[in-house]
Amino acid sequence: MTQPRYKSATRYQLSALGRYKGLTVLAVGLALFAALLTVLPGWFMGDATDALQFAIDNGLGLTPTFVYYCLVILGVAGALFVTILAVGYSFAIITLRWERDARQEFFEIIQENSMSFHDQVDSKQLLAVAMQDVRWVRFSLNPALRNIITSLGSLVITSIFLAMIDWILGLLMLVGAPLYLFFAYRYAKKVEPVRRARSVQNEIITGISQEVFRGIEVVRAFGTEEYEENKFEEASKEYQRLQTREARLASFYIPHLIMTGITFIALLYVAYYVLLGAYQVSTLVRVLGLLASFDAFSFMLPRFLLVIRGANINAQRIVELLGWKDPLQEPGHSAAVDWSKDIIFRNVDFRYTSNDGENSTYALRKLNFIIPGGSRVALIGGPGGGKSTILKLLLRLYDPTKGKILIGGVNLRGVHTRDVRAAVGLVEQDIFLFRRSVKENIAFGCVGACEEEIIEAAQKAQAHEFIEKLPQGYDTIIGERGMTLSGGQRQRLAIARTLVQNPRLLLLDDSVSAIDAQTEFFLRKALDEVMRGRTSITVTQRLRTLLESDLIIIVDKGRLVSIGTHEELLESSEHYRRIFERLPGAFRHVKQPTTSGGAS
Amino acid sequence: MGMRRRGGPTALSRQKQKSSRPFSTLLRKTFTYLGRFRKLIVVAAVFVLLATIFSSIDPLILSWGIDFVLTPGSFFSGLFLLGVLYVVLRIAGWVLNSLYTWTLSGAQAGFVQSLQQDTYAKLVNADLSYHKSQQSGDVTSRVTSDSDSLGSGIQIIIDFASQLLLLIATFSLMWISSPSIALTALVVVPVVVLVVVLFGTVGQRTMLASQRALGHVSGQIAENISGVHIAKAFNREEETAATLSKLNQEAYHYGFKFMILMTLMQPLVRATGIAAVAAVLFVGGSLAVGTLPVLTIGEVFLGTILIQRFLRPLLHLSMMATQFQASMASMDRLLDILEAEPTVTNSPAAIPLDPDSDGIVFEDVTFAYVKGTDVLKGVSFSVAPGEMVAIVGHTGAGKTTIAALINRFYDPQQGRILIGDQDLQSVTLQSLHDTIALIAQEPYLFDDTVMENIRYGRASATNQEIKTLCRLIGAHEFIDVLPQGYSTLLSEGGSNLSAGQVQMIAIARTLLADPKILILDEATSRLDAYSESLVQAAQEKLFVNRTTVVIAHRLTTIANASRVLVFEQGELIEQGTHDELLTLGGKYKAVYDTYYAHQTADELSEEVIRIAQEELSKTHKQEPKSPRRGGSKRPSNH
Repeated sequence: MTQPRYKSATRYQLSALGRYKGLTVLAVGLALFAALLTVLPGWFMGDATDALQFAIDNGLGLTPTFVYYCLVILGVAGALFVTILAVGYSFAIITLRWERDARQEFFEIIQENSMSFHDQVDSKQLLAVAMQDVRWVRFSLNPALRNIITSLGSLVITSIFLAMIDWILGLLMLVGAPLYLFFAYRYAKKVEPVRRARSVQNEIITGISQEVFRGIEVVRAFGTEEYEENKFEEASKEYQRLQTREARLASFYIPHLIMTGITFIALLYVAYYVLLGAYQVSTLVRVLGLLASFDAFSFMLPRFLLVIRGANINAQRIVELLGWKDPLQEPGHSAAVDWSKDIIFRNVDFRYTSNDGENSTYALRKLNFIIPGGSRVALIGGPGGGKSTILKLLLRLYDPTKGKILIGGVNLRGVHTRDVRAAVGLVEQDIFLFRRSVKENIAFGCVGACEEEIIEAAQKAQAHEFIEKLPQGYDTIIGERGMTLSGGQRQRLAIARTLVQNPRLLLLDDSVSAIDAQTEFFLRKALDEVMRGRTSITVTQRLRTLLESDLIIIVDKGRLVSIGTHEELLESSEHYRRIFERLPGAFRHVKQPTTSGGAS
Repeated sequence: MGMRRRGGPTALSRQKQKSSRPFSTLLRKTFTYLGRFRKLIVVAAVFVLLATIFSSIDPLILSWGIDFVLTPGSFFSGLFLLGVLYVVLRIAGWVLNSLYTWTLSGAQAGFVQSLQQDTYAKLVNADLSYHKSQQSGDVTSRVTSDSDSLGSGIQIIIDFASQLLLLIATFSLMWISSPSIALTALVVVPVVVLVVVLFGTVGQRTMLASQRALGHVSGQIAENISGVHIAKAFNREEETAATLSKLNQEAYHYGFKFMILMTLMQPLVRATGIAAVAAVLFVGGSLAVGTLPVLTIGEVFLGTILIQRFLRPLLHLSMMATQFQASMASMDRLLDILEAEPTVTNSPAAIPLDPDSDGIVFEDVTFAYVKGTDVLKGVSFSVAPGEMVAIVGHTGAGKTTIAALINRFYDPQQGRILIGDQDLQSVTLQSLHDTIALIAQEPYLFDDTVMENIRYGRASATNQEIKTLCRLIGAHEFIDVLPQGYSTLLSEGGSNLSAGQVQMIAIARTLLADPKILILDEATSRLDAYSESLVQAAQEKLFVNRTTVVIAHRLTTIANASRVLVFEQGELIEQGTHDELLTLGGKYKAVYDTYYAHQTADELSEEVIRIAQEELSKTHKQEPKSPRRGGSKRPSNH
């Protein structure tokens, strides 16, 4: 996939026009023609009046000339209909196609970005940009730009027509029109920051309410209703203030006055010359008719100016996200790796990039250990101690900030992420399932997995039985708004998904919700199955797993605390002994690891 | 959870598409709610109506001007006077219109604010049963979009009046100058009808289809972004992109259709306007010529100007109906909230809970969320001050309900609950909640810093106090290494933290509040062995010298409890210490084997699996009866 880079927000905003150059030229030409057509009836009104006056003066009935002009105006109406339709059609093609493709492009680019990006940028914000910002940029072209072209076009054409009648009128427009535009623009400029502040404030109010309603039990339990009401009042009062200000800016709108002034002067000027006999009354009608068509767009102009200006900020946001520099670089050519060999962490430091782009505290610090190929490793540590970071580094969702990870002597940095992820399997803590059928979710582990493979994997993962009992079996839709599955069921599905993938290295975050003995029994069997014949690293809650592991790694606050087998650690690590002692029913294993039998 | 939709405390939650109240009631209520803004709004309306009258007259001046110059022997001074009159009218209209905008904006924003405030306050104090039955997003839109929509409803009413006045005035003016022109103007009516019908049927349908298609795109993007780590882990980026592309194309298809329809509307209206001018010109012209001219040229001109002013308000008025309906529907939904009476309230004689009251007593408590399905049946037990009691039982045994009743989220239908010797229903809610703290199964954290989340327990706590507390329970270590330490901003309810971290912060928050009585619904999410031991230690600190009821999921908790209460189908069937009950070999033994025994390091015995299987097959036959909030599962990116 090629990564188009946009040099500036304005270029991005106008990129749709560049994509369909021919059509754009045609559309703009048609829009200007439409502007001409809107002005023409005013012009022909003059001719019709001439004819009418001639008929009256000569005591005639309806003259063919008068009827002709009436028909011409009717014809203009027809032409206008067709032209505006054609303009709308071309603009729809140009801008809607752009919107569709821009959204797709945005998604594909951010999807390609490494996880550092997704940690920094909130998923809600990404969604808002993909939907709202892209849409506003489209709005700025259609209808905003489309209408502005027509409006400005008719302003210019009206002015030219007036100048053709009398150069003084042309002069009047030469002074009046810029003044009109100036004040319209000034209004747009004034109202823009207020409007933006208002919409931000609206988001704040929405945020406050949504949060409180989601956490209403906490509010109730701590009796903070009044505090929350006050907090809301403050925010909504601010919203009220901004809303009032924005709306009030629209009052005493100067361009209206300028229009009145122009009409007043034109009326007096032309009428005076009609009185003097220099002009026919038709000229007066023509001038008034022309000015009337100009009057129609009053508020439209600043409103659309506002959209165009505002959308530039939307475009800026998009361009910034699209231009994000990924610290994770793919190697020129991917090194071959033997995944059955030892995994070595050598002096590994890692820190996440925080929301403001600054480096934060270390998640991992000078981590050194060796995992022998083919071993079962248990990984434990304090909350946020760095366990999941270790798993993510092995998936090459990130690269270490310092130090290196070697697989059979090959630096992971030199392996293409595609190859890493084909060889490394993940069963994460909060199992993410897509809103698809069970079958498709399992097949996610491998492109083109066939039915038998899927069922076989499900059987090995102890999931086949419960899947069969679902309403539509393997075709049941799960995930968000689909069938709800229990934690144990989700985990078994994830195991099946990983079995289909058949990875060389398995990463497992085995921290499911409280489960019953039966589910536990199934899970243990499933885990046994999936760990067979490959290196595995498990973040585990199960004491049993600790006992059965070849190696236990303890990390805390990003540092290695201890490493060894269960027996070794009981001997050597005070830390391990303390943890183990505190856990239920574990003490027997501290004193005499071989005991079994009744509980507690 | 369909069962939470009927009657009783959940009457609030009825979701309606159509108004349940008659239109006149809604309108009347709206005016009542205008309250202190009523006067301002009336003033604004007067301004705009006056402005409308002025602006409907000004074309008349122009037409006089034309006839004036056509009259032989007219002087410029007369013309000048007409010009000035025109300007004065225009400026007066401009000023009045501006005053209208100015006045209304203040009143409207104020009205929306007071409505938001009332709704919000009502919702914050609404029964929990209401919130449990609603998506938080829906509730939020009551506060935000519905009040906004009603606010614009006010403007629509006023605009309606002014547009109607403009329409009538314009038509009258046309009628006075020439009934024929007025009748000619009616040719635009079929076009307006066509536009309105087109918009109302095909337009509406296409718009909905387009919105739906766009919704699918949005949903797909949201899902793909939340699951981006999975797409990456399984090398499936191309596939997700392809899926999106299909939906995107569909949205484009409908969006295009809708836009073409909208584009059709604009030229139709404008071309009609111009065609009407031609028609009026023709009719007016034929009346102005001949031996007995009825009209002057000025009046013909007037006709062509007026026809434009006739078309616009006519179109406006016919489009307003839908908007107005929408804002009345909002009023209807708002009234549901504003007029609802919460069932759990302070009784008139409520007194604060005595500071010395401690210990919990259930006396023959029976409770049902829905009439006829008792969730608790004649439950009696007591918890002595300072005692830690564990509650166990299968899903649907009524454990969560007990926690909710102690917090007085609901009132029991029979029996009573006491703190010390005070009945819950006789004490103020505020004092009750000051005394009791509840830690929910999935503790909720706000989108704020870690520090502020903990401070929520007691607003007056200093940073130092909070840090000391965190050190005490062993939370300081991990908070300190978060990206910004205590100032780390939590997002999406703490989804950027691990389950263990969330639990630790919730424990710190509650410890800071230092409640006399603690109700803990233990988290079901298991942590790794190390984190588990930390949380366990922190919990133990929390339980010390505190009356505690724990809905237990951890083996250690039941082992440490001074008593275990075993519930089955809403009844208390066994109680005693862990060891006593185990030796008894009754129901508790079965529950223990099913949920707790495997938490030790021992091999699972065949016996245990068999018991678990039997127990689970029994409970699967009963529907869970405790209320669960729909859709509370938060997807996590980590």
